Amino acid sequence: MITPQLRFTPPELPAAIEQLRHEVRDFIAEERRNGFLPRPNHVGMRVSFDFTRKLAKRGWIGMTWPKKYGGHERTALERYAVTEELLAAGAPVRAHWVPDRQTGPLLLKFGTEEQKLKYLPGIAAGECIFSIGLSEPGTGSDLASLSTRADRVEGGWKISGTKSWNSNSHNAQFMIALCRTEPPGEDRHRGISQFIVDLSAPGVTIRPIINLAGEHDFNEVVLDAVFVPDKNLLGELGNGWNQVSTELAYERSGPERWLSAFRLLAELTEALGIKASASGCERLGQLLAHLLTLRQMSLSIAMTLQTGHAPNLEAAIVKDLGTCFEQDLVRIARDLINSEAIDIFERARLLGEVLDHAQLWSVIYTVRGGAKEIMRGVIARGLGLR
Amino acid sequence: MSDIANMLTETATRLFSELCTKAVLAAAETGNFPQALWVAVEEAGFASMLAMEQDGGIAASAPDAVTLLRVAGRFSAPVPLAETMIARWLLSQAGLSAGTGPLTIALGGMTADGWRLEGSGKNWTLHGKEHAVPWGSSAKSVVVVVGEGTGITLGVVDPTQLKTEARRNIAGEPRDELIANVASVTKVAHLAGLDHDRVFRMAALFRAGLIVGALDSILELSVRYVGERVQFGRPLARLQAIQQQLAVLAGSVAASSAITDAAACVIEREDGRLMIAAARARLADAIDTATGIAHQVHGAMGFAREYALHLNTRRLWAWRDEYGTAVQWRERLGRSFAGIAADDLWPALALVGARTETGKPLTHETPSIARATAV
Ligand SMILES: Cc1cc2nc3c(=O)[nH]c(=O)nc-3n(C[C@H](O)[C@H](O)[C@H](O)COP(=O)(O)OP(=O)(O)OC[C@H]3O[C@@H](n4cnc5c(N)ncnc54)[C@H](O)[C@@H]3O)c2cc1C
Repeated sequence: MITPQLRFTPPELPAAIEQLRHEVRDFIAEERRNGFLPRPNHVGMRVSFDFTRKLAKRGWIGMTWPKKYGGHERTALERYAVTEELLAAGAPVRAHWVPDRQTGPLLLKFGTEEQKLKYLPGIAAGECIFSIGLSEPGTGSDLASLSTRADRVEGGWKISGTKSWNSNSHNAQFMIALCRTEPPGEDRHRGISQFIVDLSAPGVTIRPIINLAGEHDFNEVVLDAVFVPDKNLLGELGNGWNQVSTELAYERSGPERWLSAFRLLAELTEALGIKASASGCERLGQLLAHLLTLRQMSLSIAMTLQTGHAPNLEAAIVKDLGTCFEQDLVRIARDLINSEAIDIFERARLLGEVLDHAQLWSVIYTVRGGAKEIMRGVIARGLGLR
Repeated sequence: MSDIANMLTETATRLFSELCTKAVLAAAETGNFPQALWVAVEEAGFASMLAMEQDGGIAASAPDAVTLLRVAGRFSAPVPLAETMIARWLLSQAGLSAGTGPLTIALGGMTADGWRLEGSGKNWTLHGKEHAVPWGSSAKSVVVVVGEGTGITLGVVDPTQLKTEARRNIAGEPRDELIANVASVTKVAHLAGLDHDRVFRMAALFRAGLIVGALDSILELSVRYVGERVQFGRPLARLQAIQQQLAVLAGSVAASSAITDAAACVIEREDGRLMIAAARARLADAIDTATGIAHQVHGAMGFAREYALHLNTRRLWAWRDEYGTAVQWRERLGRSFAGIAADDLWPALALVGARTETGKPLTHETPSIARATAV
């Protein structure tokens, strides 16, 4: 019989969630009307500190955290509903997305009381931005091969190494850096630790890496004997590997894996119009069927997260299916625009712009956040094949 | 899973694994109806499950029915279980007795244009035809469903009253052509509370249940096979290329399971139209992916009639386009949304299949959303 984790139970949502969705929609509609949030001509998320602060004011960052850390003690499902609404609208949530999604929960789970009180209220207020320091020039999928080192010194640690592909570091005050605190022994997964690095500390150099789309989104962060005080060790010394696994479950399980190119689907659906041909409707329907399925799977994961269980296998499945779906979406959208003779130069100009942007980004959907092959390895392990 | 669902799965697994033997399946393909299996299915109460208590059923829910059909699909049960369940549900709703014995349904296609019932009082005749009615000539009776505005009319017909041509789908299951020039109808009843689409959705959902069961099975067979088959000095399962293939197969199965279970929960609602369309459209893609991978990792063995894989895969290829083809389901879904304003698409989609704990359906507050769920 099918392994139980391959069964995604369809959840029943508390009625209050619907109310919350409407609040978010009303807010976005108002921002659109007031010209603060133009209808996006791109996919993915952009940075707007202004927008981030507005969300914070409404209590939509750090939603599930305890009030004493600036949170709002709402449920994981409520947070989930808000993330869906923001992604579907193409809202500029990049600035706080990572700290809200994974740094906060990581600090809550492994941080000291002092760390929680110091960082969480700032994150929830949309003022304190963290980035993720896992990848290195020599280390991608094989994270345990990392070479950034933290050496003990008087009162703390000295960190040296280079972190690469760091999204948003140029807008962030802090990075959680994964470092070796012991040389690799028989078990490579031991002797790895996480540190909170102040990006304004001496020895930190942030260099932009311009991406294929011509944007400055990620960076190389060079750490040259950067001093980090003892109190900035996150969690237990040597337990970094387990902590990162938890963090990655948060990173991989959200709806951004199938809603990041939603604006393309939205513009395409509008431009197809009610007179679309039978085969045009058929292609659209095929896409919608995949999207509705991914959503049911994601809702089920959100429910699982609510119960405190880390759905690693389920998240890997949704990430793999979701990112492949988004790549199909770009391909099918292009063909549909041509087969239905949609005028992307005049009438549906926005669609043309979103399509071009999606085309540039879509190649990387199946790499960022853990490559497709790695996700499939996780699934194969779940099947007992490795 | 609910308690009922667990119990059903357990009982059904025991029953079908014992009685759906290779010999029974092979005999069924050459026209021998598996009588012992059918008797066991009747005794277990499966075939009447949806009927009301006074008609020998338990008024089971659609999700419970799907749970049962998953097991039937997994073991390729060569009996018209899904069809009889629906026929008895309809007869029970109409206050007609069903008796025992396998029944089938003739719905006249997605748009209900296959059949006409004419007459009044006790004298009714049936006109029309339908290709590929499951067990159309071997069922005890055919329950013909004719759509009539908001209601439906049921006509119970003895297959001997019809011109029949025996046919089979590629899985060797009876899919007979039925033709009624002026066939006399045994019983007629009007059901005001059901519309044709609702019945058709149920039939489509039940196929989905069978499909998910068969998909479960080919994943299970594939995982087992690559664990046992040794090449290059180690089990195939150790090869990364194989692991990656099976991960994709598992993803297709998980997606199919998720959307089918979700559709079952809302099949009676307005948006059940869209959820079943999404489910059947998604399942078609899953079938294409999953059967391809399952056969690939089995090598030549999967192509051997002696090996069990084809029992599931041939059925999957057939079921993919029964009770609505993949093309029809995709088009219905796409047509329901095409032209919706970009900022309205998400609110419209978010309502589809959403369930709240109060059990109340969500409201459709903007015109375009109402359109999507009503088209
Ligand atoms: C837009 C973007 C933003 C990012 N942001 C961040 C960030 O903020 N912080 C951060 O730390 N990192 C970030 N990353 C890095 C990201 O996590 C890595 O790109 C990812 O983990 C893959 O590593 P890699 O690029 O080095 O590829 P590699 O690991 O070199 O892999 C290259 C290819 O080989 C395949 N491969 C590797 N190992 C195996 C194996 N065992 N079996 C089969 N195939 C294999 C991979 O699947 C991939 O297809 C970002 C990346 C992108 C593209």
